[in-house]
Order: sequence, then structure tokens, then C-alpha cells
Amino acid sequence: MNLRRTGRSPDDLLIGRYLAGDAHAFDLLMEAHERRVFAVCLRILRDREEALDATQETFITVLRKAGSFQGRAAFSTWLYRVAVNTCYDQLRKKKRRRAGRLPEGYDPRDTSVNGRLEAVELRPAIEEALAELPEEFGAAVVLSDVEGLPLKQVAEILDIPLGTVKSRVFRGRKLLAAKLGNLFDSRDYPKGDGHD
Amino acid sequence: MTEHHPDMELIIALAGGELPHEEAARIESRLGPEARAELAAQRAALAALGELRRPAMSPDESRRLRSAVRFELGLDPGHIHAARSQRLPRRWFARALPALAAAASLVAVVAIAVNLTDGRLSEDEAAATTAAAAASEAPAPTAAPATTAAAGTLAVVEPTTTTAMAEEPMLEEAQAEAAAPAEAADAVEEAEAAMEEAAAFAEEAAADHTPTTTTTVTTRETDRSGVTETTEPFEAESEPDLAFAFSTDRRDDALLFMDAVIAEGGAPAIPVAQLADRAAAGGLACWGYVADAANPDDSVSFFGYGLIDGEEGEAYRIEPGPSRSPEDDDGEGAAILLFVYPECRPVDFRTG
Repeated sequence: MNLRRTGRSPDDLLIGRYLAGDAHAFDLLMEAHERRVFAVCLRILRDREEALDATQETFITVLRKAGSFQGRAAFSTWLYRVAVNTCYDQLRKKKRRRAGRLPEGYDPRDTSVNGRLEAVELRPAIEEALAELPEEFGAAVVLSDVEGLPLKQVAEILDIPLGTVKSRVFRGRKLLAAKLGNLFDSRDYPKGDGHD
Repeated sequence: MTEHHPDMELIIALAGGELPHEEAARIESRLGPEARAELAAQRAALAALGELRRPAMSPDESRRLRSAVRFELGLDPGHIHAARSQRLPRRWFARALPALAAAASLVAVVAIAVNLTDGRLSEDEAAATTAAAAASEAPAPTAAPATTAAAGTLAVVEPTTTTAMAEEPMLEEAQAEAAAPAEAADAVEEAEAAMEEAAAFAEEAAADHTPTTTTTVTTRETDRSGVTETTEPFEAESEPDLAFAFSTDRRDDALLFMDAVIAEGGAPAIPVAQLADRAAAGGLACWGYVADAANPDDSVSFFGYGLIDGEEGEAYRIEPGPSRSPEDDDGEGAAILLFVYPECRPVDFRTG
């Protein structure tokens, strides 16, 4: 009788089991990651239904290609990379469709529409400032400062060098602080455009 | 960017609280006005972002998501349910039985045909015989449940289900099998007589392949006033309040290991009720089975992934929960449970 570590991560094991036909592994993978993927998508897309769609597309893409997963990077890194790319694809499509306009029929007094626009009801001003960050800064800040992922993993997810991630996080925070400073006119937030 | 902000990494480290307190204070006191302003902006942004709460996914959204993903991947929820409820590995001959049955039916059909024609087949008859045999071969695993003997008892083995979860080519194969014509089922029925013969052969063959380690289950009555134990073969739908007895050809080694793990302790124990969340966060694979095996008020510590007698698996320690007093403990303390993949099959249980 012996018990020793295999050096494989739980995700690797679950992917292996999923590919071997273990249906239970599907649920375990979803349970392990769906909330975080959804949270990242919601931060980027700011719409629950769209975030759910992006989350769904992410898992479908990843699980369809699970057989080609080499395990060189962590499964979660691969998953979040697909999620971020899916979200930004959706955003680009949406921008083309809406050309930056509010949805038709938008009425601030209409709570159902308002609810969709706010997406995350807590701290809407912060959410708004976060959403207004340029795409490359926003993704780095969301993954690093909101989701709490290590900068190294953020670099792997975004497929950019670590130094670039640090720079994007740094500039993203600076922009965010400036936006919040202008919004609240508070001494807690420095004013300005946030540019260097 | 880095050129314009030579202190960027330092400011990030200071804002993120990554440096020891004294060192951070010393460095901060030496910062120039511009760097101080940068640091203030970084901290303000981090403080604002810290106000955000992770958006929760409702149970309904989770259900919808999984349902949609399953649908898109062609995963039948029924398969998932079946796989969950089936905890025992299909033994060697259970997996081989459909093929054996198909082979037997082929022999039977040919034999009948040869008898009927006294060894002379017309071209049409030969073609019909070949077609019937082919039909019986392909869909046999999915056409009907196969009856098989496992661990000395007869059990109904569900049609192969888990293969439908695999990669797309396998999925397509499974779907093609599922869509096979009804005559396949008829062919299997015709083969039933032949299956008896095949099963006898399979039993004989299985006896040669049965590992020396056997797993049995000891069912414990929950009544604390008197514990009755009966040892019986482990079945998929056993009572949730159970423990596993174990016999092995290396029992001494097993017990030494178990004792060592029990004595080791250290890993944080959590109530079983909280296990699901922890397990999901940690990607633990066999938690559901552990939760079933433990009493609801017990606590569980996860010990790690590893090889258990050469098979990948997980080890857990179960100990009496906070609501159980020593008097209720039946004289048993912590227990260790070992599971092996892919079915999270329990292979060992040890109390200390």
C-alpha cells in the first residue's frame, strides 16, 4: 500500500477523467470554474445574459478541444484565456451593432432595462469606471485586481509578457483612479485624465 | 511605459502590500512627490476595486448553463445521472460481455443456419445470415442492459453510457450506436440462449482475472444503541450511511499506512455540509462519494491525490463532527477512506 503525489493538478485529472468518459467529471469541472468564468465575463460584458452566453461558449469551446489540452499551462489559464477572448469578441460584435448607443427603448425609469444595463448593481460607479477602461487595461485589471489572479497567470492568460501585464495593470489602475476622482470630486481619488 | 515610470514595479509592490511592513515604510518615506501621487492613485484604485463583490451565479443560471453546455456537447443528462449512480467499476468480463454475447450470437445464428440447411447455404441465406450477425454485433452494448455476474451476485449493468462524454469522434460513435435499428435488440434477444453459454465462459475467464484484493462493504445501522454489522458485496446504490471493510493480500502494509495517516492529522477538517464548496474550489474529484460515506455531522479532511496500489486516487480522513459527543462515537475515532479513479471506487477504510 502506498500513497504518493502524482504531480498532476486536480484539473488535469478531471480533464483526463472527462475524456475517459466519466460524466461526473463534467459536473466537477463546471463546479470548479463556472462561477469565476461567469464573474470575469460579467465584469467585461456588464450584462448577465451576455455573460452567461460567453460562459457557455467558453466551456463548449474548451471541452470540445479538451482532447488537445497538453497540460503545458494550467487548465484554468487556458479556460480564462478562452473566456476573455470570447468576451472581447462579443464586445466587438456588440459595438459594431450598437455603435456605442444605448439600447433602443432605454428608459432610466424602466427598472427591467436598467437592471440589464447595470449588470452588477453594487457600486455601479466603480463598475462603470472599470467598464470604460480601454480593453487591454480592463482585462488586466479585472483578472489581477478583481479576480485576484497572480500577475504571472494573467500574463499567461492574456498571452503577453509579465512586464506588459504590470504596465497595463499600473496604467489601468491610474486611469480608474482618475475616472473615480473626476466622478466623485473626492480627495480620495486623484483627479485627471490618468494619462502619463 | 516602464521608461517613464522607473518605479512602476516598486509602486505596484507597495500598493499591493507585497513588501514587509518595515521595508515598505522605509521605501515609501524616500519616494518623491510624483511617485507618492502614483502610489496614492494605485491604492485608491485598489481600494475601489476591493469594494466590488464577485457577482454570484444563481442556481437557476448554473442549471441553465450546464444544460446548454451539455446540449451543445451532445451530453445526455440521463447519462450523467447514470454515471453518478454507478459507482462500481465494471469488471473485466462485464465490459467484455456484450462482445462475447455478440460473438456467441454469431456462432448460434451460423450454427442454426448450418443445421437447417444441413451445411448447405444458398447465396441469399448466407447473405441474410451475415446481415443478422452484423446487426447483432454492432449495437449490442447499447441496445439493452446486459445481465452480468459481479462480485458473486447478479447485477444489471446499464448500457454503456460514459463513452458518450468523450471526445467528438467517440461521441459520434456513441450516437451512431444509439441510433442503431431495432433489429439489433431482437438480435440480442435471439442471442440470450447463447449468452448463458458465453456467461459461463466469461465467469471462468473472469476467475482468472479477478484481482487478489477484494472490496466488500460493511453496512452500519445508524441506531447508536446497538450497531449491527453485516458484510456484503458492495453495490452501486448502497445506503449512504456505510463504511467499507477491506481485505488485501498486503493487509499489514495497508494498516500501517492507514495508522500513519490517522496519526498524522494536520489537514483542516471541515463539516461535510461545507465539503461541496471546498471541493469545488479545490477541484477535488471524489468528494461526493466521501460525503455519502461520512455521516452528515462528521468532518472531512482531504489528504491528497496519489497512487493507491498503482492506481490514481484520493485519500480522505473522516472524523466525528462537532455535534457528536464521545458517547455517541461507538468507540471509533477518525477513519481514512481511499478512493481510486476513474470511478472514485472506494478501496479502503480504516478506523483508528
